[in-house]
Amino acid sequence: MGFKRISQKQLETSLFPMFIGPPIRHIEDIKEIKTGATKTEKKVLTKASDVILEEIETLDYEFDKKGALKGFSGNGIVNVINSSSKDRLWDVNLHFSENKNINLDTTEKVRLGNFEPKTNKKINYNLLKSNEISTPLTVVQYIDVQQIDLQVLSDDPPADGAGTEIPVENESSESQQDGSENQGTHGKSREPLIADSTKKLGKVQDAIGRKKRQANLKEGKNILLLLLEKRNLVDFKISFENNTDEDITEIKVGKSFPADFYNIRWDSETISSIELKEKVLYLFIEKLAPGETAAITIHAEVYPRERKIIGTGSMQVSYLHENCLLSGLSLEKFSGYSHAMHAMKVKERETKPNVWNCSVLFRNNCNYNMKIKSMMVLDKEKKTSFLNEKYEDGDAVIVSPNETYTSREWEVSSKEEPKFYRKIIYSITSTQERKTQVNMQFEQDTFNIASIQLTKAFSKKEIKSFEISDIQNLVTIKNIGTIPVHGLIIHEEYPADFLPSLKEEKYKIRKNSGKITKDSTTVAVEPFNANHDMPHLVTISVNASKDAKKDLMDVNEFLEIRHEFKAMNPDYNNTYNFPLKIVVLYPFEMKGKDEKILYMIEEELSPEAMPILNVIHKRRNILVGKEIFAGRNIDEFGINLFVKNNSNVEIKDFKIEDTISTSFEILSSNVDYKIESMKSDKHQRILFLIDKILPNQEKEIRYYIKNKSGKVMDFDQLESFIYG
Amino acid sequence: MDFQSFNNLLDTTKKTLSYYLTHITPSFSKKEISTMVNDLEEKGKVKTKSIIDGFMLMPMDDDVEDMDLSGYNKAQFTLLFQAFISAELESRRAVKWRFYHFLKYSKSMTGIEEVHANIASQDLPELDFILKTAGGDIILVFCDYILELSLYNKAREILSTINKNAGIQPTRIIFAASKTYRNIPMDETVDVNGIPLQAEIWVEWVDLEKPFNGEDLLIVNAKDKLNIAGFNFSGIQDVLDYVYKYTEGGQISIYKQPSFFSEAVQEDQQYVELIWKGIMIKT
Repeated sequence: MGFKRISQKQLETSLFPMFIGPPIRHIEDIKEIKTGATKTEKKVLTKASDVILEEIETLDYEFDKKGALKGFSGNGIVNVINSSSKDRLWDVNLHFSENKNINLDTTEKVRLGNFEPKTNKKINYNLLKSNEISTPLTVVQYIDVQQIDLQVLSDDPPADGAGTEIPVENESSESQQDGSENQGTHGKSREPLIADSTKKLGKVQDAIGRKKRQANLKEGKNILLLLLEKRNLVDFKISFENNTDEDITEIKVGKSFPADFYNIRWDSETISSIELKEKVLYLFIEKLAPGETAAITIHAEVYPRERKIIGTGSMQVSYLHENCLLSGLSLEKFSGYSHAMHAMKVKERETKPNVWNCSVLFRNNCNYNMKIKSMMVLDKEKKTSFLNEKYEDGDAVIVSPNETYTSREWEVSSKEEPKFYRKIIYSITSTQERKTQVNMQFEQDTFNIASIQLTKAFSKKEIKSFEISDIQNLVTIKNIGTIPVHGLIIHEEYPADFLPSLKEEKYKIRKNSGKITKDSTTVAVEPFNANHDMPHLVTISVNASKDAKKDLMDVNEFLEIRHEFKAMNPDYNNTYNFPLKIVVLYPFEMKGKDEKILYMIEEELSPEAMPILNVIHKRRNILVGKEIFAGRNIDEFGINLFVKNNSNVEIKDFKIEDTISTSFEILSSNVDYKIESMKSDKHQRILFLIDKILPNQEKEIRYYIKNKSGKVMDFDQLESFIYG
Repeated sequence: MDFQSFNNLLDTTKKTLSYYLTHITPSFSKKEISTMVNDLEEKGKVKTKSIIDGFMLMPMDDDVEDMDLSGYNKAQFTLLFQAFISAELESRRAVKWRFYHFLKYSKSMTGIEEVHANIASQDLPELDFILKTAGGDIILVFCDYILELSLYNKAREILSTINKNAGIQPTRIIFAASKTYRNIPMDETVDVNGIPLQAEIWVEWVDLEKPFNGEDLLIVNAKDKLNIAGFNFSGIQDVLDYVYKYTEGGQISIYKQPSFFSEAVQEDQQYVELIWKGIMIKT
């Protein structure tokens, strides 16, 4: 029973039964691709053929989520196979052309030595540098979320003149106006910062925006966004281009989608074998000719319900590049020997004694073709050449198995049997089979969630009709997405009868992390006048200019805008709305460029979240009455003062003053009173205070008086001035 | 080995077993058989003559007495059959003596002049062989049926304590086993008296595509004709190593007579088939 010394690699990876346990190192199958290329160790041939040289390279590329190459490994195998069941080979050598892309020493010939029947030997090598090895297949994926538009911020208008720019902020000192003193007179003196209303602001003409987007998407540098709690339509556009002069075959693609995606459909005019299984899309392209491109657009929907990162799905591509080794390894020469026989045939001519016809016989005794490269026959002194045939590779004599090749004859005169020196250079032939298997793994990118929490509140919930009221307005914008907000543009509409502040300093803007610099903020009111008979639009831009370098709000940060506005002449018969729209600008690219492209998402405050401002219409209606009643005695009287509140307004601190003669004394009263003397000695004033009278309530004051004894009473002294 | 197991034999008489045992190639001498049987039976102390107590210098010369099986009982015959013919004996000592058998012909282990086998060592029970080459190199061999990490680590401990003065400064360390676990850290060196050595692992190898079976008779047409039982070798390379060592070389043809040792062979189906042909040049 034989023993064999094993290597570390055999210990770890061999599948022979003497190794206990699973192999330590193994090659993982590509998960997204179900069937991989099959490998054959040996090929069994039944007919005469050549020694098979299988040259296979396997390149593994790993790309990060932005498409940059992050890992590369390449290895190759040159497998020399002796598939004959009986022929041995010996002195097999391979000569490769110089190659600096692999770790094999190609300066010397590779000696493989002997081959027993049905054996093979492998030469393993690694590919060294990925950047010098071109990728035959270019795979490009770009991802487009349909609902999110792009805004270009630049000094120059777009090439075709379409679209609207957000201009540079103007000087704030020129915009200071006091609306209260100059109402309606300064509207024309100031250029509004934003030329038009919300509708003009925003969408860059589609062609330009999309062109920019595609260029950047191809480079993979753009940030991907989804809208929270909204149905997002996402397009994945994937293209495959053959950059070589050879066909690329058996392109298999596995594109996975995270569980959040649904309703996955696709369009492709160039790929017919497409199958979706368990959120993995499998594509198969049988062949791509040189320069040919295949493409597919995959439509999918996603509805993010919570703030979390959603992946774009990884992708794996594998393909076969026939007749090509990407390392450029090239076999210059193959040589090897097997069973052959060569002989010198000398035959004396029948009619001419001592004259010999000579030739060389070469017999191929093995099952492989052999090629004769040269035949040389010399005399004993090695001076005379009788046969000197050299064959180039293309002209080499091929001798099939069990066949005999006979050289041309020459004549020699000799009394004895002629003898010669002969040298024959020959070799078995070989067939090369080359291919490269390329595997590409693309890491998935991630979608960020764009979401804003928008609130608006007034300091008052009720104002009085037809009266001027000051109201504080507080708008809070909180970034509840997963990506910082670059800038904001806030549009607030004020209906007629209301007037926003025309002074920029009245607009207080701050973040929870600190105040906003004035340079980054612009405020515009349109029309810029104090005429409250027309509506006004206030536009506040924060960090929305092209010069803004940093983002405005980080995740979970909020921004507050406080300013005052006045209710000038609110009519309780009208309904007043204060619409609020914001345009949120998100960064589009990882790194900023001179020409900034931003994502632009419009949000509007919903009617349910709109602050309520009730115009209260309250008018007072009071009846003040006086009645005099005679008392039991002739000199006694009861006086009844009543106050009736016929309105829906509560009356407070209502004073009544009655005047009576000093000849009377006050006996009692149901309400506290106060007596005041008057200039005239004959009269005195009695004062009552009612603290409050509710709507539709009546209050009575009853007091009793009596004539002081002995004095003559004039009735008109009772009916004197009453103040109330 | 792919010879049928002992329990599957129809005829297990001493005569039949003896017939198989006499076809062990290279054959064992009388003394070798005696030592091996004692060790396989785990009989214990034997008087030894070696560089270390408990080790025995094995007689590997050709002029020793030929194998004589007359003094052995059936149980011992069975042991020898299971150890060398069917190789079904899964014990450390069986692997040990099969490795010894391998040393007798292997071209990979040339130049070995002395083989000291552990018969009853108390100090170094885990060490099985100390080999000495013509050049004076010493090779230590540890054997087991399954090479586990525990034996490996134990061997490393032993090696770290070997006293140089005892005349043992190994140049190679070999672990020989029928099977091995994959967690053996063979890339780590073993320190012996301050000298780091790389351990070697040798496993009982079965060539899955060998051109003959254990029951075949291999007929070597050399200058001297040899008939070899297929169960002695696990691959064509082993056969060639044996032929190289035990013939004068030259033009060699190896034929096989299938199922020669099979119990169910019918005479009229006997034929020979060429399995190897070539030239061996012995320098």
